[in-house]
Amino acid sequence: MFSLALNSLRFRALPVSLIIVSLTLGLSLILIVDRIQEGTRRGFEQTLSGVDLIIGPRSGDLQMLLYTVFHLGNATNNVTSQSIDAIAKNPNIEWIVPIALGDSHRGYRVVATDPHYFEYIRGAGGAPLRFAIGTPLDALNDVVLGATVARRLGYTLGDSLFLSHGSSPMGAVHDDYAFKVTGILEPTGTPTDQAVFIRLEGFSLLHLGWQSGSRLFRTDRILAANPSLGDLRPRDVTAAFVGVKSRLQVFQLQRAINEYPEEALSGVLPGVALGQLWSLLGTADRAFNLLAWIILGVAVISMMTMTVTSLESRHREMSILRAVGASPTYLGGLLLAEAALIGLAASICATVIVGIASLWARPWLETTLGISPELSWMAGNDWLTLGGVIFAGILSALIPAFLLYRSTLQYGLTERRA
Amino acid sequence: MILQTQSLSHTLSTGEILAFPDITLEAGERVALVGPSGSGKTTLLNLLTGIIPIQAGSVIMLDHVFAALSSRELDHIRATHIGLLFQTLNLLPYLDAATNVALGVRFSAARRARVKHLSRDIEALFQALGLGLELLSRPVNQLSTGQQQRVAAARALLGGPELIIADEPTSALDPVSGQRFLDALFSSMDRDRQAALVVTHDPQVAKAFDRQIVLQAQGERRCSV
Repeated sequence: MFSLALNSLRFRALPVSLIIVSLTLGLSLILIVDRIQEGTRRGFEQTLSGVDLIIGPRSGDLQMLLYTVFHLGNATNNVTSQSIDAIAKNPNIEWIVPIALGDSHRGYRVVATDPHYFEYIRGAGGAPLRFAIGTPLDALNDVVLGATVARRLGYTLGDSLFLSHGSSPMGAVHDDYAFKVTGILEPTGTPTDQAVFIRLEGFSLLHLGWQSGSRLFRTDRILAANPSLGDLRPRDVTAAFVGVKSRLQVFQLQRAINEYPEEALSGVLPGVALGQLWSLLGTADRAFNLLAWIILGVAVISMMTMTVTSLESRHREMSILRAVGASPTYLGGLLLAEAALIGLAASICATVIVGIASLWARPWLETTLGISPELSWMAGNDWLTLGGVIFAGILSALIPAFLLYRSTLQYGLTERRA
Repeated sequence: MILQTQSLSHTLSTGEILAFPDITLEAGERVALVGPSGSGKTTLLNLLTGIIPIQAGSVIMLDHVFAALSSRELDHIRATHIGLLFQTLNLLPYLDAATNVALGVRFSAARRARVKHLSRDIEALFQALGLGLELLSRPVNQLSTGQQQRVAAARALLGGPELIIADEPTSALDPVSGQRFLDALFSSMDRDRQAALVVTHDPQVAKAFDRQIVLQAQGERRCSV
């Protein structure tokens, strides 16, 4: 039956191809939206592993999450190191790592931090950060590069580089102080891959001679005084990542930070902030999903229309099959087999398109969001979606199959009353 | 006895009642069914092949009483014991000639079992019907009308069904081609003593048959031999 159905479909190649194209488009859209949603969600969630709380200036949870973890947007204010030091004494805290943001290097964000960053912050799926080559930050002018930065800019150990003031690639260059690459991280699939890490003291050194975005004096003057690392400790940082001893204490700690009397601070639970992000994106997601399903529905209805309208022109074909002994049930089955083959062809095309789109989406997500989600060719739910479309295709052929069954039983071989 | 009908009649959806003469058909017998348009020839063929159900009267084919059989059993009888030919457009356009012929035994294991070697039997039928073997793999829309009718005849004959039923098989052919087609068809049927019931409008064609059954317009039905 399937070979006959296949031959029949090949004979009607043009209308059948158009139906397959429209089904493929609808199906691809559903799968791509679903895949990117899921991949993005997983990528974001994996990025947060290891950090229980983020401390920053009083601001929106989501905003703070985006600029501290995903390097999207900019901080509006800073936190004093004094406050961070005081909070670090809280007995619930296991570790605290301050970060200072604001500079960049050829479009990549600079994260000034302390060497413990590489010990506590995790990559995708909770994997510890590992060095492909080199060592963590030690000296004032040491710089550690994320894997993507090193790969794209072609840096290796010992190379020198200058940082730019601000996050714009067009910003003024701190060309009076060169950093030396001392470490390159292995890929993590998180925004870490796209970051340039320096010590907080190095960051502080760069900015001592700056005020309101303009350089007042060169760093040589500071270095001439031969300052110690302690002398260069910044007075302010952008935020701090916190790990707690027990997750049960995280809410208590958050409350303590939000009520910190010396400074207006916010303690942000990354998971909760991410939840806010998903709820913001949820409406758009649902609208996009709905649109994709509507497109698919229209394609299925088109398939049904094609099958019904072709019944009249296929009356003779059905008469021949009846003449050689095919039962009305067989003829109905033939239509269902054709629908199943159309659905299968669309599913295969959609899978290939989605696979290729996934290959394209990954670097796009990497560049725009700093995450590298695993976008496999077939995700778990895809089988259900593809199976559902084939089933819907078969269902769409049920009405024409019934019309054909009734027509062949009622009118026999030659009367055209399908 | 291959076929026997008794008091057969059929009411159309328009309310018109078609009453048919009684028909008997022996093995090897060739009968022409003659009648004007609207006399119910096609309806009669549908009844005799079990495609539409019997409303009144009886049809007995090879001891099978149609009225007592299910739709599935009737399909099986048609697939096993009847070779059917239409006026035109007998072939599935998306299959080549040989595959169209092979359709003749596709729906009956019993008829398929009578075929010793499918491709050789098809080739033999092609030769008997005057078709070149180079046409076997050719798409049927590249064949002439006469060639298509012969391919359809090969399909009807494959597997040796006891009865060949044809609905005006020569009407799309010129008189010479039509006669040549019937000669080839009958010559192929001689070996297995297959019976034939052929609808035709052409009195000259009808003369080539053992006898004729004439269907007349509604209200005036009679059988003449």
